[in-house]
Order: sequence, then C-alpha cells, then structure tokens
Amino acid sequence: MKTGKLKNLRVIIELLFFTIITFSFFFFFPETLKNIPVKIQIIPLIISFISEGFILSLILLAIIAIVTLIFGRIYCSFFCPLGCFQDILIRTKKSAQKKVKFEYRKPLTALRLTILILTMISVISGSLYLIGYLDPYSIFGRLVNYIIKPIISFINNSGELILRKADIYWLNIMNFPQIKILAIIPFILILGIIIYLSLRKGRLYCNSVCPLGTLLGIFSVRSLYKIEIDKSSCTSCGICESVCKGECINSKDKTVDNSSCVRCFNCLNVCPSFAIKYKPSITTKKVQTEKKQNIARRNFIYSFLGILGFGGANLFLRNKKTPIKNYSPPPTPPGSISLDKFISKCTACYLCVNNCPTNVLQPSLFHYGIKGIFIPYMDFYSGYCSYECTKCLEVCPTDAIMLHTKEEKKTIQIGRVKFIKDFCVVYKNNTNCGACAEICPTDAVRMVPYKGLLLIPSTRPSICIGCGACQNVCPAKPEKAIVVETNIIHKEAKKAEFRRRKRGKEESEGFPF
Amino acid sequence: MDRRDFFKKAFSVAAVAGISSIAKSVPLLAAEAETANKKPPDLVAIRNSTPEKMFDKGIAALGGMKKFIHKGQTVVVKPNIAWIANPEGAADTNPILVKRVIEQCFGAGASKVYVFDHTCDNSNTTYTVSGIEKAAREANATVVQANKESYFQEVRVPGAHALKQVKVHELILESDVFINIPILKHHGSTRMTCAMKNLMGVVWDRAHYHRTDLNRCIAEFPLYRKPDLNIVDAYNILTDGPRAKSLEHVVNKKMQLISKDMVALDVAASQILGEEVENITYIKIATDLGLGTSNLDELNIKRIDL
Repeated sequence: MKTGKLKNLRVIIELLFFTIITFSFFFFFPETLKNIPVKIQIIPLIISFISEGFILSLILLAIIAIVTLIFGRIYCSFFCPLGCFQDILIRTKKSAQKKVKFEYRKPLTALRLTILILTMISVISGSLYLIGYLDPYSIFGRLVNYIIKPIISFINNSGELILRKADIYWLNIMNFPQIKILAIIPFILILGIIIYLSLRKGRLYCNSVCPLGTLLGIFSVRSLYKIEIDKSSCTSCGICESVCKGECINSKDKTVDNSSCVRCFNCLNVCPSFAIKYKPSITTKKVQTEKKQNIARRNFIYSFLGILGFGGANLFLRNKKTPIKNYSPPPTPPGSISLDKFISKCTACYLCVNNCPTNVLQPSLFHYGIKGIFIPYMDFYSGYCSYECTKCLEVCPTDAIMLHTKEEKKTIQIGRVKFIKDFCVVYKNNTNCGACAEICPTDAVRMVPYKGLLLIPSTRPSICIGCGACQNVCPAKPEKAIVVETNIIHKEAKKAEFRRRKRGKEESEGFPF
Repeated sequence: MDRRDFFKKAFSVAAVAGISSIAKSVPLLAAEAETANKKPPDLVAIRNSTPEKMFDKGIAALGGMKKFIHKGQTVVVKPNIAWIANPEGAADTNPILVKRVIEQCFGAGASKVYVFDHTCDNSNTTYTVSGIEKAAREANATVVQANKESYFQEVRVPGAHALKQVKVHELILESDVFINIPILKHHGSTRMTCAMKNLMGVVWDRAHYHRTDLNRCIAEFPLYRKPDLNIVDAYNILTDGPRAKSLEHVVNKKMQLISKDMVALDVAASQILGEEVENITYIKIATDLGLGTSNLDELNIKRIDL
C-alpha cells in the first residue's frame, strides 16, 4: 500500500471502532460485534491479567505488544475511542476555522514517566484510582454514559413520541442514565481538560498524561516502522509540523519523536518534497546534548513533586478505613465474587450500567466508601437483577464481573432476603398484597396463611439469590418491608425443589361446571 | 340508571327468576331453553383440542367475530405477557391462541390490531421469550410497549373506593374494541389470576393496587372499562403461580372459556383450577358491584367437547 493511503485507512478503522464501541453501550447492539473492540482495550486487559491471570488476556496483550513493536502506537489512532473523540474535535475545529496549526513541543518525558510509574505502583498495590481516572477507554465509557447516551436517548425518545402520535410503533423509549451531580463533577473536569488540550495542543493528553500512551510510547521508540524525515530532500518548510497532532515533528532539526507519535499519518500526504516517510528503519543512537538533559532533569523534578502530591493523597485515601461499618453496602453484581475483588478490578467504564436491561446497575457515590467511589452498584430502588440475564457478566472488559454460565449465575447469592413484618402492607392494612412473592424467581418468598383469607410473606433466605426483585416491587411506604442484605463475599444459593402440584379434576373428566 | 345499577337489578331479577323457575315446573324450563337457543350463549366452554381450534369453534358458537368487531374498527388485544417464560412454562398466554384471535379480528374487518402488556419482567425479553411478539407480528398485529409511564393516561373510575383514579394505557382509551386474553393460573396472593386480574396489565401503577387493597382494586377496575370479549386460555394451566418456576406446576387441561362476563369466567375458571371461589376475594367484590354473574346456573353455558 502506498503510504499516502495510510491516513485514509486510519480514519476508516478509527471511525469504525469508535462507532462500534459507542454503540456497545446500547443494549440493542448485536452481541458479536459488541465484544471485539471493547475486549481489546489494553488497560482492561492488563487489569484482567494481573488480577485473574487469564491466559487469553495475556495472549491479546502480547499480540498488541508485538503489533506496537512493529508499527508503533497505532492503538492510539486506530483503536482508542478517546483518541478518536479527540480527533473528531480537532477535525471539527479545522472545518470551522480552516487552519489549525500545531508546533513542535519537547516531550514532557519526566511528567509522563512519573504518571506511568505511579499508576503502575497504584495498580500493583490494588488501587484503581489513577488508572480508573486516566484510562482512555474508561474515560470514554463515562463520556458515553453521561453525555453521548443522554443525547441519543433524547433524540430517540422525541422520535418515538412523534411516530407514536402517527400510529407508528418502530422505536422503543430509551432510559436516561441517572445523573448524580457529585459523580459528574470530577468527570466533567477531566473531560474539560481533555477537550481543552485537544483543541489547543492536539494529542497532548495522550502524549503527556495518558499512562497507556506513555507505555506504548516506550514500545514505539524502537518500533520497526517509524516516521522519518529524509534530511537531504527536506527543506524545513514546516508543513508537516503544522499538521502533526502529536506535536512531535521538529522540522528545523528534521527529527521526529517516535515515542510521542500517535501514528495518525497526517504528515505523510502533505510534504511537498516527499521527504517524510513511514518505513522500516534501523535506529541509530543519537547523542543527546547536555542542555537537553538538564531540561529533562528539571522537568522531571517538578512533575515528580506534583505527581507525588496527587499519588500520596491517593495512597492516603486508599489506606483510610472505609466507612462500611455502620451500614450495609448494596450488593455488587453477580460474578464479581466479593466487594473487595470488585473494587480492585472495576475501572468504572459503565459498560455494564449501560447494558443492564433492568437499570439495576447504577454508578455509585459513597455506597462502597471512598475506596470504591463511582463503581457500579445494585440499586434495588431503580430496578432488580433479572433472573435469566447475564449481560453484565458478558460485557465487562476487566473481568471485574466474571463470566459465568446462566445456570451458574442463577445460584450466585449476592445477598439474602429479610422480611420486616412491621412495615408490611398485609400486617399494617389487613389487605392482601403479595407483590414480593409473585415476583420472586426462586421461591425464596412465599405467601402463607395469616388471618382469615389474608396471606403474608414468608422467606427462605438459603435459596435466595439476592436479586432484589422483592425489594424493588414492595409497595410499602415509606420503608420497604422486604429488603436484601448484602453478602460482602458472594455465596452459593441452594436450589429450591418443586413437587408436582395438581389442582382440580383431571382433564379427562370434562368440565367441572 | 347507570351500568352498575343495571347489573344489580339484573342480578336480583335473575336470581328471583332462577328460584321461581326451579319452584315452578318443567314447561317453563323448556320454554327458556327454546329462547336460549335463539340467543347466543352467555359463556362458551370448549375442551379437548388445540388452542386455535378451540377458539374457532367457540367464537362460532357466539355468532362469530363479526358480532364483536365492525368493519374498520381498531382492536386492542391484551394477553398475559407478564413473565419471562416460554409457552411450555404456562406463565404467559399461549402465542398460538393470540395469533388466531388476531387473525379472526382481521377476518372480521378490523383495520388495526394492537397487542401489548405491561410486563412484570423486562419488557423486551418477555415479549420475545413468550413467543407472543413473533406470533402477533406474523398475524400482522402491531406490537406495542407498555414499559414506560408516557404510554399511560390518567382516568377516573366511577363509583370506585380504592381505585378512584388510574393510569391506563392509551391504546385502551383509543381503540374501538378491547379483547382480553388471560391465561388461567394459580396466584400466590389472590389465589387465582384470570380475566379480571389480567387487567392489571393495562395500568401503570400496580404498586397502588398492592398498597391500597389488591382485591378491591382488581374488582373495581371494570367499573371504568370492561373488555368487549374475554378469552380464557386454560390449555396449560399453572398450579403454583403466577411465575413459571417449574414444569412440575404445569397441568395440561386443554380448555378454553369465552364470554363477555368476566365474573362468570372467573368463577368457571376457578373450578377448572380447583380453587374455592369463596377464597377469591375479588370475585365476591365484583359480584357485589354488579359487574357480572357469579352464579353459573343462571347463565346459558354452551359446552363444546372436541
């Protein structure tokens, strides 16, 4: 392929992945397409591998490493949804303003290495604070949850209403995600920074903050294929530098910083003297000047101090005892094994939240203490876990919710039912209700004779799976009369046994009336 | 005289007539039978065939679908699609029956047939797994959701005490003909779900029913609107419901009941299920409200054995 077409190829693949990943957050999107782009997101794979040791994750990581060693950071421009989002912003700005000029910037090596190292230390010590905030895929997930999806829902629901008035029932009403102001503020801050940087400085976030970008950059420096400038034909006209989103082409020195280059291939088509090329090369070590080293050292010290403050605060918060003592936290989704495991593996990308058909999964605030801030929880006030559904187990890219078969999932006990008679409608009003018993999928709640014709709930916690259906439908006000008590570590529920139950006359006997 | 009074009076007149006819002699009974032959039966019970064949025979005995639907009318069909269960689970109305009812509606000249239920489980999955969405679409019906409040409109229920206002699906308000197709099941709380209980699926706030007085709310809803036709699916019945938990609870009865009178249907259905009618509180309340006849002996019942 001619290198001139590489940019077009990049744009096509990038948009394809971006579209598929965006629509992975919508339940109607086909399963088979959904899984591929999400499951090759690198940071989720890393978390899945280091916490569970899954060989498949390792193999995928190895493939990505090899691809990066050959072609450089193509992930950043081909497969990263946040990268594509920034590219779209830059492109939009370009169409609006005609010309967007970039300028070479010295790589902020010290800053990015410090962030990478601190992120690695924090992940290894079991905290996902930094990585949860900085992982481009997870940031993008929250972007879909908080911004893209509400917009699409609004358009869809308006369309549904118009069509319905015209007696056409093609669309279904979509849910709006729950918006919690406290959860959205830190997200908006980070997103604001990314948008600002991308509009002013191109892919600066990717090259200086994103720990994944730095990691891939290390692989990229010595990749087989590189962007290189042919010094003899280059006239230092600076056109390539002005279109470089990575701000990594130094047209005066005729050099390219391949650790910062995101392989967008914008530069390949613009050179009037065909001096810039993407080709295999054998690197020759360049002697760095002493001046450069000094600047690098100064940068390193400044950024190290800054990051140390952030990291220290992070470590301090993590080690603080979480206030779980006095109240029972809500259950974690089935397949997450235990609260601790879930907290140590979930990056809060909200893919499960957006795929949950019953809306029981919602972003948490302080439900799991500061340690588990923003990760999803089972909100039995907004829904309940459908007995037949294994959606969240299937989509989770980090294996924070581990895959189980449907039959296995039906026996995972995430909590146990507790009946509070004093609040029950039957006890308070002396009228029949039974909402909890009719919705219980396992027979853990049954109606038993009470007074006269009245029936009252009776529970069997050992066969309860903690799906929360009873709690969700209980009509008692202001307090629910039936609730789920969380199993911090999930257990296995017993299976209910059903006996043959015949009523009435046999069918051969004809009508009973 | 409003509808309620009418039924009350009709009920007492019928009761008196019933007693006097027994007290008098055979000639009067014969005369009654003669007039009954000319009038369509009040209730048709069919047994021992497949759901669609039973329906064809049953509706023919009532004078055909054209008695209920005029040309160009819109029809809303309300099966029970409450739970995620395949047809063998007997938690939802048999899709074959739903399909045949829709076909008959179009056969009678219906301009449009809508099918919906406010499901208990997740709506999309329930529509699919129950097989009703597919069956209804095959018969050219329009499948509509009822999983969001915006489909519902508030109406007043005249003469109600527990259910003074209720949010009803807009299709119930807009459609010309309302056909109720419940499946007969045991119910853990009301002891039986059939014709009247099935109408909980056309309202939005079921928690209000449960919170206020479940049996009274069920019985009071028909004060607002009674279906124009009720078809009780008793092909497979669930003896421990309403949710399909085990196939051990499914009994193959191969029966079907068709009538305009929901109270009479519920009484007949309770006998098929083997549940004491005195224990089913909403039947008693509905009878007292004059919504139908609970004494089956007063009715002209046509029994069809296939």
